Amino acid sequence: MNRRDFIKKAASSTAVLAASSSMLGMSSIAQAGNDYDWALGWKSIEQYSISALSMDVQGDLPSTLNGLFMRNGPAKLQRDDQRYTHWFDGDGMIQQFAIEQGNVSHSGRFVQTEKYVEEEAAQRFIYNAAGTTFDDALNGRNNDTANTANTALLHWDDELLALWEGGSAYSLDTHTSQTKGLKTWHNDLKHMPFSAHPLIDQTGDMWNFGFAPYAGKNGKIVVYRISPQKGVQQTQLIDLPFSGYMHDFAQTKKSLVFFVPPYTFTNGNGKSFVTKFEWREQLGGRLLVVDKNDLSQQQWFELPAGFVFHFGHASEQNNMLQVNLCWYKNANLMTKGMVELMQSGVNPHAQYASAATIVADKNTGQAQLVQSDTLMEFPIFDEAKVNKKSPIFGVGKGSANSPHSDKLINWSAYAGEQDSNQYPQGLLVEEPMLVPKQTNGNTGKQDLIVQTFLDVKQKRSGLNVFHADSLKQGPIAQASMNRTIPLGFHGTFVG
Amino acid sequence: MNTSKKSFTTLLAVGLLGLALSSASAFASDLDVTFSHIEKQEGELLVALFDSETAYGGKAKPVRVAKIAADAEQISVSFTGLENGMYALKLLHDLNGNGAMDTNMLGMPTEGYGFSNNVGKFGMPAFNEAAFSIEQNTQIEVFVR
Repeated sequence: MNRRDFIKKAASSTAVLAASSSMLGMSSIAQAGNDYDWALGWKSIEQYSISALSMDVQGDLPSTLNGLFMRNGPAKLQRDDQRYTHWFDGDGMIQQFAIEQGNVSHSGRFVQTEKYVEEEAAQRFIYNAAGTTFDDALNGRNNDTANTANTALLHWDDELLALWEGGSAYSLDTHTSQTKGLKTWHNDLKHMPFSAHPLIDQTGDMWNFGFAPYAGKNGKIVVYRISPQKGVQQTQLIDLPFSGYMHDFAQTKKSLVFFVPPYTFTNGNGKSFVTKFEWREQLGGRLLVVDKNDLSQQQWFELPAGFVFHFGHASEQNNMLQVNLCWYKNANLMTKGMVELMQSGVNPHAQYASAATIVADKNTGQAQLVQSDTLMEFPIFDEAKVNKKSPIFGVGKGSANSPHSDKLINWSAYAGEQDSNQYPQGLLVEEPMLVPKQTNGNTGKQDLIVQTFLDVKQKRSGLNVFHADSLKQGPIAQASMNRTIPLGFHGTFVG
Repeated sequence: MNTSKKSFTTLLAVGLLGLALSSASAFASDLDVTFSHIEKQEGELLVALFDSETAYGGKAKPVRVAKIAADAEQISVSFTGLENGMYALKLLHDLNGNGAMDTNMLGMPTEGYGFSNNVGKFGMPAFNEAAFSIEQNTQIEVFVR
């Protein structure tokens, strides 16, 4: 089938492609919200692994795209009548899409965390999770007791890491996803928080941080710099002005950039770790800029109250720092939204993020938030080609009333939304993966985007492949299967 | 479950702590402690029993101590001849034999530990949080975190 036929067929049938953003009226998206089984995106997987299944491929899947596209996300969401209340709590499962010479197969395997192994043997939840407590839970031993390794994947230094954030990463076999064990970088760092979003710099070193809101008077972060083969090179504890939740960060060549929201850890009434956080609008937000060459050099900037999960790229020139991120007015998604998704598959009380840029003047100590009107989350970009105008790809919503992410976006801080693909109703789309041209995974001449989706109408999961410079033309290929997998968070592509 | 039971009686009390048990007559009771959920069967359990806030805070000696091979998931220990009163118990699962609680960079324990009343989720509990009464022969369970 050629590409034109493929798109025609996809659009005319109930398959999962939209040839253009005008295909679907916005009002129909909003009305469609209640007609579909959105809860399929949060349906628990029972078996510990899912055997390989060859996917149906349509369109022109480039033979130059080869490798393992792997995604991590919460997939064990309940055991009998015990169900996690917060989406962040599900046990991590690796969804592997093996792409080879135009063919795609899917398989899945749970990360064999200490928690999962023990609870699988007992056939019940034994320990409290970050956002869920159980009446008869056993005491946790350390941060890794609740570790579900469910958030992200990173292939680095010949090792596949399944990342959480409250504790250690787990080391996995790259090809089989089989679990090797907890990754302890050094004895002094055992069970330490380690974010799911490490950054690799131009030298190949890894930067990461751990968020420890319970440490010290107002919480701390610990910053790590780790070199391939050599291990930990530097660590730095940084006192926070208040214990605002931090999930991700950004880097420039010179600096590490953090945002501290006024969503702070208290030892108040909340039973779980998550419910011990409170929104304290009056504190405002803070931008923290740390000098990579001297981690003790830290500069703080005041900002309005807001909430951030994910960052795009950052750059700085002449002491003017610019960082892109997905900005929320409040933390409702973390509190109400994640709980609602687990209950019903929709979250009417959570606000969607908008693409935004913070410009910080390191000379004056002043920072400004510039919000765009583009709804966007799960930002990705080509780390090898960052400049302040370079594109950021993410998921968005065709309408603020859409129940879920249904759009793939190319956005730039200076030009706004440049390109997009609007998906048809009934689809949930996940974080895109950029596979740059002329790399191990993509030996072709065009940057490619691979994006997974769940079609709750057809009850199929799959992935679409786009030319990164022409999203509007729709996907060039699609692989889908008669199997659904719950929504996940972040992934990696190993070529 | 792999379990073991060890008895620490007058030898510990008299030999290690020099406490006379002659008073352990009509007002003396025994304490049986079961340590459960021992994660790794290696190293030793270091147990200290305190009879006052002063001792618990490190300013006086514990009334009993014990050092036990951590060779089972659950281990029981008996302390005999205790005067009736309030006590608190601390446990360290010393994996590497250095006699101290190892911690990570944030000061969080990297070896097993436990307290009477199973308190101490966030740092060292106060004596009154860990304190329990012995008025007769008593059994307690301490979860090893």
